[in-house]
Amino acid sequence: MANIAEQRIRREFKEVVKSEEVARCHIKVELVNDNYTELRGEIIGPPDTAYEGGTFILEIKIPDTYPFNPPKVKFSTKIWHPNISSVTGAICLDILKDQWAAAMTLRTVLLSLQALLAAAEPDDPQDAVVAKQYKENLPIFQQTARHWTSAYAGGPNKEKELEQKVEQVKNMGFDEHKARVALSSCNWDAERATESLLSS
Amino acid sequence: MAEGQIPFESKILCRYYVHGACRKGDNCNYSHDRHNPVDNVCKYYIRGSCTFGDRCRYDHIKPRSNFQPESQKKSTPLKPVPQKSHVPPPVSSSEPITSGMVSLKKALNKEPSTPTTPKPPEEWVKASEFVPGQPFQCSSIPNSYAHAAANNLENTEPSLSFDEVPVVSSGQLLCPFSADRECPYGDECEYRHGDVCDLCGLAVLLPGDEKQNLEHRQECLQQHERDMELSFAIARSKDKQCGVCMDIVLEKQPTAEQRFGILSDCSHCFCLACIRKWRASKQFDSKTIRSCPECRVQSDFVTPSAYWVDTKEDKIKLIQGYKQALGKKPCKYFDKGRGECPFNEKCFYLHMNPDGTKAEPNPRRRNADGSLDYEERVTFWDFFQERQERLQNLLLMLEDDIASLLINLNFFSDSEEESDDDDDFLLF
Repeated sequence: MANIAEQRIRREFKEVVKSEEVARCHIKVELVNDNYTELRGEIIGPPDTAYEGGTFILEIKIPDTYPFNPPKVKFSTKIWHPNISSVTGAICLDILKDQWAAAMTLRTVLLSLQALLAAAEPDDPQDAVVAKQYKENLPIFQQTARHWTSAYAGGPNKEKELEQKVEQVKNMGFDEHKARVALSSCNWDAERATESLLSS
Repeated sequence: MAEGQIPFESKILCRYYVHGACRKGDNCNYSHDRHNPVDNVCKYYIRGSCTFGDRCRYDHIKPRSNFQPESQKKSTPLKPVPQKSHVPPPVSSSEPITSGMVSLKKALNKEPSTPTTPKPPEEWVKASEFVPGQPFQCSSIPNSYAHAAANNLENTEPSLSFDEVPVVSSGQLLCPFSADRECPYGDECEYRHGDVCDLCGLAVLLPGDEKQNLEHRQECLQQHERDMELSFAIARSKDKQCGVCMDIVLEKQPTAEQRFGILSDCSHCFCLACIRKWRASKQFDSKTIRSCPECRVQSDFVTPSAYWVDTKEDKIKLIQGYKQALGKKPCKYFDKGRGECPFNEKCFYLHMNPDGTKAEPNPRRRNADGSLDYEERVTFWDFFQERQERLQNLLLMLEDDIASLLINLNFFSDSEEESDDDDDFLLF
């Protein structure tokens, strides 16, 4: 890896570890390999959002040209959010693309992602299905997001009703995650969800 | 040097005198007037191989090509005034040892009973060989022959005539030992022991010579101010961290990297290498890379600086100095009139014709079809667009001109794209 990238990540790593947010358990960074090219980030869901109480794991890859190019970040934890792909975890955030600035750090990136969880941009979506639900049926979106948070990120609100529906579809012989995706995409209409599962 | 010609060295402060080590005293071809500019450029540096590097006591700068002897009017004593010109120069704190050591030779050389003979002209020529970077001094020749001749009349008179060489008695000379620190001869010393200057702490004030005292104090004050400025600059720079590589700029290795890149429109700190690299990156649009990586305020250019500047005045001064320095370098795009610089009159670099005259801004050339040249075309883009239809109708009648218009339109779209990178050319 280019010298400057590794050096900077070392520095940043120290900075993140010492920072206030880490002290308050809001963000966290861990090394995945020894040469600082891959990192594991962690953010908690911001309070008063559907993601509250959840812990989201991020996969961070540092390019050789860092910090002149942004790090490649995606969610490892499944999440229901208009700007994050529910399938791949890819993130649509300007600072991770064309609005990157060389002075940004792992800390600012993680904090920006946390802010993204609190303020979705449905008009600039990564996941069109989620964005559509967000715009057309916000309460259902909130419920779904909370359910996903509990199912994948250890959130406290199980959303019993939704849980039951997942269980119901799962008992029909489908994979739990697939069942959840199908139900979420069909605004928890069990019939349509099963249909889409069968047709796929 | 033929008689009747004034040695141009006499306008240059003797570099040995500056260090308190000129053996020639009054017979030195170089000026011992501290108002004159010193040629303190390291000759090894000019050749590209000074082994001392940072620690070299001579200046590591490229010699100025169009040198103006600013202080010519001020340069006072045309007749050598012994008392004054023999005061060992105030020794700045950075070079106390040398002055003590070499001043001894100077004192010996100045045995009062044997007034040194003025050197025959042939030897003057040899003497000038000692001066490092000598070829560059041509620039300091007084501007006109009349000027040189006028100076010559007054200046050569005392030094050429053998009888008039001033005889200096040791009683009038300051003791170099006491000036530096302590004179081993104490009261028995036959040289004068000056009063201690309260600013530099050296015994260099000639008792009773008000003028010399005043002058010395002023020099001391100026030196002091410069030192203060420098130490402030270092103090405010030493902890500054580059926002991109996060290194402390003044601790970067190699030392050539220890430079700040000052953005004109915001006050975030970067090292020169990082900010230039950021502004040269290709994968973002020009708006992003021209904005500060911290605050996204756009700046048109980056100014290199050895120290961090935080006040507005300092920054303006720095930028002005930078522009001035660039204004002396020939523009590689303009290429002495052979090429074309996209910035035209706004270019920071020098647009000099081969004959030495400053180039006029590019005339607004009009092509046969009435289209304007690049610069103008950007400014009058709207106007150009409006006219386009009418112009085209007109040109339909002239087949040749249609072709040229099309060529021009292509040209235009090219230059539009290029204009994004325009400012960054200044960075290199």
